[in-house]
Formats: sequence, structure tokens, C-alpha cells
Amino acid sequence: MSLREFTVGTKAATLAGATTLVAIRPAAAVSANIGLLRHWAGQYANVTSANWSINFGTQAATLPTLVSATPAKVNFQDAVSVITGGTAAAAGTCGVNASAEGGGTVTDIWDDVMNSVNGYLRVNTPSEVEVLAAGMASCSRFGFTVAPSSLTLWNFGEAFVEL
Amino acid sequence: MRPVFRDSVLLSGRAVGGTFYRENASEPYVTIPPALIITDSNGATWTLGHAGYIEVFNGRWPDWFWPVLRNDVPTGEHAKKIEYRRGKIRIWTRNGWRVWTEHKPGSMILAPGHFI
Repeated sequence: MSLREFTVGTKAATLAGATTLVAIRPAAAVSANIGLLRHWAGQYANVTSANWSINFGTQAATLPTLVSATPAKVNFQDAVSVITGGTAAAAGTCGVNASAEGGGTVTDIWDDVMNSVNGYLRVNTPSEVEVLAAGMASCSRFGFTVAPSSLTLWNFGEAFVEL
Repeated sequence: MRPVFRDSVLLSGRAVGGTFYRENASEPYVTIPPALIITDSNGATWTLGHAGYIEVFNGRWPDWFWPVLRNDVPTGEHAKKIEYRRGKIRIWTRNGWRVWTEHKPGSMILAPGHFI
């Protein structure tokens, strides 16, 4: 795929107590759609085996409170992303490691289970890429259903393409 | 809070930009994806990277093969899956299953192998 690709995430993070790991909201309708290529989560620390429910979906207003994270270019020659770091899941922003969940309705797109020892990686096939339409009022939400009991040294993120 | 247990006996290897510590090698049949990492008995951490993946058209939809990373270093191979089976790492490549085999200490070769 020769379109511009980016990753957004964080390393060695202590979960802030809410369950959203990564949230992305596309910019206004004249901008690019966002296609999500992969989602991952893992824990650096030596941990006891435990299974955690993990899911992906969208959330309508009110949106979560996040730590701002700037998308990193996958290909160095590309321009910066139309998505910038933000803390409120405003249009055209993304953030990680929510400290508070928004009260808005969450619509699940898929649910899965991850093991703390093995971590979690979902790589979409081309036909499975989740597309966030430019101008949408909701944000995407990748995270846990219930916060895990061990909150330290997490690594998680998403890779996306501008379509 | 109990401190994070870090001991020289722990297996450690790098993936997704950091060091993973594990007490044991991964269980047999752990597969990436949906697992993020496999820890082999040497402590190396395996994962599928993102940058530099290849797209193969084989019918209507393209197929994607991801770079195989060992301790966050590309091995030069691309695969759709990595599996830990009978203590060996095997990968599903464009040419079928391939198995990483240590033929002398510190040196590994990749050989065809459907059954191991």
C-alpha cells in the first residue's frame, strides 16, 4: 500500500485507570478517511498469565479524556499526518491512555480476548481494514472492556493509513 | 506496591521498541497474530513488524506479508504468521512453512518444514 501510513501509541505506560487505549477521530469531511491497519497491546513486565477482554468500536459524544500522542510516520519521506495529538478526541486528533471515559454511547465492532503473557496483535487483512470516515462525529476506540489488574509497563497502539 | 520482578534469570528480548521480560518461553502453539510476541527458549522475542511489509496479489484481494522481527531486528523474512511449536519458531511465508533451526550456537538457518 503506497498511501501515507502512521502509528500512534505509547510505550511503558502506566494505565491511567480508564479502559480506552487509543482513540482516533478523523478530521473534517474534506480531509482523508482513516483506515486502521493493526492494533496491538502488550506488557513489558514479567506478568502472571491472565486473560483480558479487548475490543474495538466507536464512541459518540461525550468522548474520553486522553493523553495527547502524535502519529509517527512509517515512511520517513512522508509529510506529517492530518491527524494531530489531542486530549479530547476532537476532530482531526488522536490520543492514548484515557484517564476518564466519556459518557457517550460505545458501539462495538469486534471483541476479542488477549493473554497478558503473549500480548495482543490484530493485523487486518485488506478487506478487514476499519475505515473511519472523514467528518464523523464519533471517535474510534481500541481498549479493554474492563481495566486489567496490572496497570504498569504497557505498550499499545494502532497503525493507520490515510485514504 | 510490589516492585516489578527483574532478575538475571528472566528471559528478556526486544519488541515494539521495548524490552519484554518473561519467566518462561512461550507455550507451544502460541501464534502471532493474535499474540503480539513469542519468547523462545533463548530469550529472543519474536513479532511481526509493520514497516516494510509486502503486498502480494493472488486473486481478488491482495495478501500482506509482514517483516519477521527477532529482538526488534528484521530477519529479512516476511510472513503472515509466526508459531512456536516444539521449541522452534516457524513462519508462514509466501512459499509455505519455514522453520528456524539453530545449526550452531548463535547461528540460525531457515529451512522448509511443514511438520516439525
